[in-house]
Amino acid sequence: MRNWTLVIPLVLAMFTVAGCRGPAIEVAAEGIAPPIGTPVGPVPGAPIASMPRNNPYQQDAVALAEGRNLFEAYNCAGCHGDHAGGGMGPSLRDEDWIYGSTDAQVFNSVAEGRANGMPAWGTKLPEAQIWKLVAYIKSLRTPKEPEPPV
Amino acid sequence: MPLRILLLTVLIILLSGCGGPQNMLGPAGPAAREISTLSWIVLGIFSAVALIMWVLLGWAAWRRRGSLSEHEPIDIGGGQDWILTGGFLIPFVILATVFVLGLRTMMAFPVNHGMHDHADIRVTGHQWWWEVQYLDGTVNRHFTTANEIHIPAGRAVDIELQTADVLHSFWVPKLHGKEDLVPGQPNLIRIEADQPGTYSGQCAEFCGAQHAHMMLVVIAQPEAEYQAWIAGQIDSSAQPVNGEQALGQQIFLAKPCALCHTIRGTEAHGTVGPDLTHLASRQGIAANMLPNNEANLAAWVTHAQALKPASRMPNVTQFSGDQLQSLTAYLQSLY
Repeated sequence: MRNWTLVIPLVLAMFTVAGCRGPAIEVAAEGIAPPIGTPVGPVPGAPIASMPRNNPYQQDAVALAEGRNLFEAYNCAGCHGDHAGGGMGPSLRDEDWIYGSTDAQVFNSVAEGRANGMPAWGTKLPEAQIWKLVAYIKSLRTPKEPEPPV
Repeated sequence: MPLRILLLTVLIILLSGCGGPQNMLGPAGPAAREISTLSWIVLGIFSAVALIMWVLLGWAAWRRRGSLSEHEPIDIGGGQDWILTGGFLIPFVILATVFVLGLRTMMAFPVNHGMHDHADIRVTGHQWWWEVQYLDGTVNRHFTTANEIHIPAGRAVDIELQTADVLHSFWVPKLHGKEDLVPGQPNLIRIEADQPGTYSGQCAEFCGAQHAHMMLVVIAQPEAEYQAWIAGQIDSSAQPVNGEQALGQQIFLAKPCALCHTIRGTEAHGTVGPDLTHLASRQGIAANMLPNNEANLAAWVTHAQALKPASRMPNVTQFSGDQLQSLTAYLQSLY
């Protein structure tokens, strides 16, 4: 009966070892993983050809002030925080441009919306107002920013 | 006397765990009943095992009590039969039994891929609310609601579960077991309630800051009542019947509300937040975190970030008190 104590662990070990051999993983030659065909992460879209590539208002002081008013009036601050410093939505004052920093890309973010909660304001705002918002957003942290935070 | 007090205290503590609206040991449907039964069986088996072990341990300690000098050295020879029986055979039989019982419970949840084609309801988890789409019948009978699922009592309903962002888990403890909402992998669950009633549930997989405030309600209704509810939901939203409501509707459409929320029958068709077409017919707002009433609606519109920080609902404060009152009056008219 003494050898039973040997047999049991042996049987268990056999079961365990049997589970070790997983499905064979396809490995490319020289052990390098095959390239990924699709790009990973959000890719900022190319500016639409018909759209002005640059903001018609540039850094016009009146347009910047109007942009600031629109930012308040349309509750942009509700998500992006006071002076766009960040809230439940991302900060627009920091260095990160998740969906691109060119005028056309920022315009697209506002007009068409982005994943994770940014609605498409293009259904509500005329193009001129969106450009004023873009002008204001791009003026943040520059000397031209209207009513900068104190 | 102290013993009696101790027993009483222990009993009170144990009993305080019973009952409650989300008690999985108080099943109200077939799937939950299977789980509850299995829980009791497993609890019984392992309580018995624990009791026997403690008695044996106590007996061994009692038999060998006293100091080492009073006893002969322990004979370590023999006893292999005890090890074989107690260490292998008995655990094997018990665990195999529990395994088979577990398989039986799993078979009580019939899930197959064919069900994907005719799920009655699709539930989509969002941070931090539940989107509920009714897919029964032809496409013109489909509609979307949120955070509240109505089902016919005594009839099984198949629900497809998916997520718009991270992992969530769908759990109404009185009706069924947990089922995860996995990105890119729709899951299916069949739920059934024996009796009409309201059954509360909860997201059961940590999903971020407001996980604890991601609640849902399942309302089981008699068949006729359920059909009437469906007919009401398919209808587009109620139109304003007085000046105040009309003003509220204008405010809703003019302010940012309409960009994120849909109210069928108006120009509001945002898809970021819950569909509000029949908001007033629901019991709660903010994923059932708050009862649906005038005060909470006003508080939620103006202070959502204070009530539920990091949720996608911003504080909307660009209106006067009168305008806010009109807005809530309109929202409360959306039956």
